[in-house]
Amino acid sequence: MSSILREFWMFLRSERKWWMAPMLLVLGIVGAVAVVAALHPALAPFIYPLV
Amino acid sequence: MSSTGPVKILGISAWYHDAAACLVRDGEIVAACEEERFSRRKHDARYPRNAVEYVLREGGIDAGELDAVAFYDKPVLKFARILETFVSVAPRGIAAWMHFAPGWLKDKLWIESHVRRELPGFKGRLLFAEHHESHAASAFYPSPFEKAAVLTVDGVGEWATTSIAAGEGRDLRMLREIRFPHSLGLLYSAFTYWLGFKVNSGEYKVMGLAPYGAPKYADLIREKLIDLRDDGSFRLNLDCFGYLTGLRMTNRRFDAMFGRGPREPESPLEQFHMDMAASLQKVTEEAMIRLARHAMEIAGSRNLCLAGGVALNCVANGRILREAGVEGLFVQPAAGDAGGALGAALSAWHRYMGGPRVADGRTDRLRGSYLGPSYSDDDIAAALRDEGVAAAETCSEEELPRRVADLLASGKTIGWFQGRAEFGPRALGARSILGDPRDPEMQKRLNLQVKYRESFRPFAPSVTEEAAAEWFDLSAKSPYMLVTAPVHPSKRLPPEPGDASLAGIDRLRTRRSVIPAVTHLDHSARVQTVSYDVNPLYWKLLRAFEERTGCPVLVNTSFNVRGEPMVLSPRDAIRCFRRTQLDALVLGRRIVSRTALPPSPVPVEQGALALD
Repeated sequence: MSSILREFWMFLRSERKWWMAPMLLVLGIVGAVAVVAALHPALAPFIYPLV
Repeated sequence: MSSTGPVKILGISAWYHDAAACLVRDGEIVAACEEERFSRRKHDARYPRNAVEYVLREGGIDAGELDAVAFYDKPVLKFARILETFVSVAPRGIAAWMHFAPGWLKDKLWIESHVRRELPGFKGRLLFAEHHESHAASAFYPSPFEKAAVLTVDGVGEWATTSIAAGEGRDLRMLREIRFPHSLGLLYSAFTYWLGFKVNSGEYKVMGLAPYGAPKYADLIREKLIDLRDDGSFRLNLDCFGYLTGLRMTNRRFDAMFGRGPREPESPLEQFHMDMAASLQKVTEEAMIRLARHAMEIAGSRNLCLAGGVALNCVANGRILREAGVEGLFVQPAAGDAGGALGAALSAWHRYMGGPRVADGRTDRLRGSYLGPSYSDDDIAAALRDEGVAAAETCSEEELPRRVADLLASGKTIGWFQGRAEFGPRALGARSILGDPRDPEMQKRLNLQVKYRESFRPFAPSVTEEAAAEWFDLSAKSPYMLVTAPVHPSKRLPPEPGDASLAGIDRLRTRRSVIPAVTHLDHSARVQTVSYDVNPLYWKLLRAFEERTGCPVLVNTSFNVRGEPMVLSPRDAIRCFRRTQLDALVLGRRIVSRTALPPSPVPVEQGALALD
């Protein structure tokens, strides 16, 4: 996880594409929520309304 | 990195098309194989677990002994390109985004954790090469050239769709690139889709269809679809393509331009479709020739190395060889994404680790591309026993070529299974179906009764290196069957009365040459030259056939049926033999004739086979 975040950070910095940062952040949050829901099925009903 | 012993690098390509693995030890290519051959799923893109296991086994090591794993592209850059493309066309493209995003969020971004989970014990570095760097490295480093221009052309990598590099010694400098969405590979794939064939798989059918047509629409394509410049650079008219915003390659404006919509898969092919294929092929060849000339000019070398999916277009390669002023041409046999595994590993060794490179100017380092698994006599005997095939004739190694040549000369079709399997899409005499090229019915028979595929597609010839110039107009060796050359004029036949009145697929009935089964309508052939040094057994078979018939040429097509990957193991070969109407199967030194085979439990119907 940390390596992919580092790579995205390096990419944004070297390419100066800061406008992509909010999109990546949102995608990261959605992805994390999906992972949590997959790992803990009991939480899924509470997460579902959020996404 | 391990502190002692040779440096061992595992190259991997996966998650897009044609997953593969390759093991390189101190720069020597130990083994390479596509995952599809093991999984029996054509173009299998999943993590190549079986192929990795095999290459490590071939190298006699486990994952803990690897110094590095090299992946063939940079997922973060690729994902950023997809995201940027989505933003640039939003709100259109939402369907494509919804289609692609889950795969990215689930698998494609997590290469490192996936690879480390699959390779317990691996403590080395995970390295990422850019997609076109992998293609370029796969073409230049194994080539025989000390110095060369390197041209890679495919659909798309991270951003690059076409790149030119200069290779010298162990250095590989990327010089120029053309970026997505302008792509020669995607242009070809768009037409492949529109002509009713499967994208990333049916492109070679378009190439095979082209000689049946006339390039009537080439001017229209150049005018409306692609702006092709003198240096080979190009821009596509994106208004006519659908791949930026949707899941279709072309759109309504494309249809309107040609006055009709896409052809339904498996529906009858009309002269119009053949003319379209011919037109596209002509434009592609022009682009490739210009790119090749420009690459050699800016790289300062008349040697040229090619890779990327478009480098599998052997008709374009043949024209490059004849018309672009090339001194030496090397086309990497696994030129598509599978070869990326090889390129990533070699790039890690030469570029990242500074490993030395030796090029003698004559011999490439792929050893005939026989880089896959081999099977012992015991394995073959066990497979025959398990499959209930008892009656197999066993020959000595000396006797085998003569015995098989007798069968071929008497018109029999043979499944030929020998030694290490080929890496790359072409059968090169290890997992091949062989036949007599002089037989006028052979092409039709193999297509319809053995391979169960469209009758318009030509077969390729293998010829001994020594006799190649007598039979084909070929100025260089073609060990990997990636160059077409005209059949030598002395072997061609004049048209017969009535030939001129034939049109479309019916033209297949004309004889064209003394080896009609491998001569396409335009007298071209996709030649494999076979040298004794690289494959002595296959060379001896060609010689034995020549002694009987005066012809050192055989039909050589991949050992599989439609929709199935090439066979890998003796068991695959026996099962494939059962599904076809081949006359005999040669497994190592054993010959199985069809009459000795128990009845097939699964009768084959053409419609039951997967589309390819």
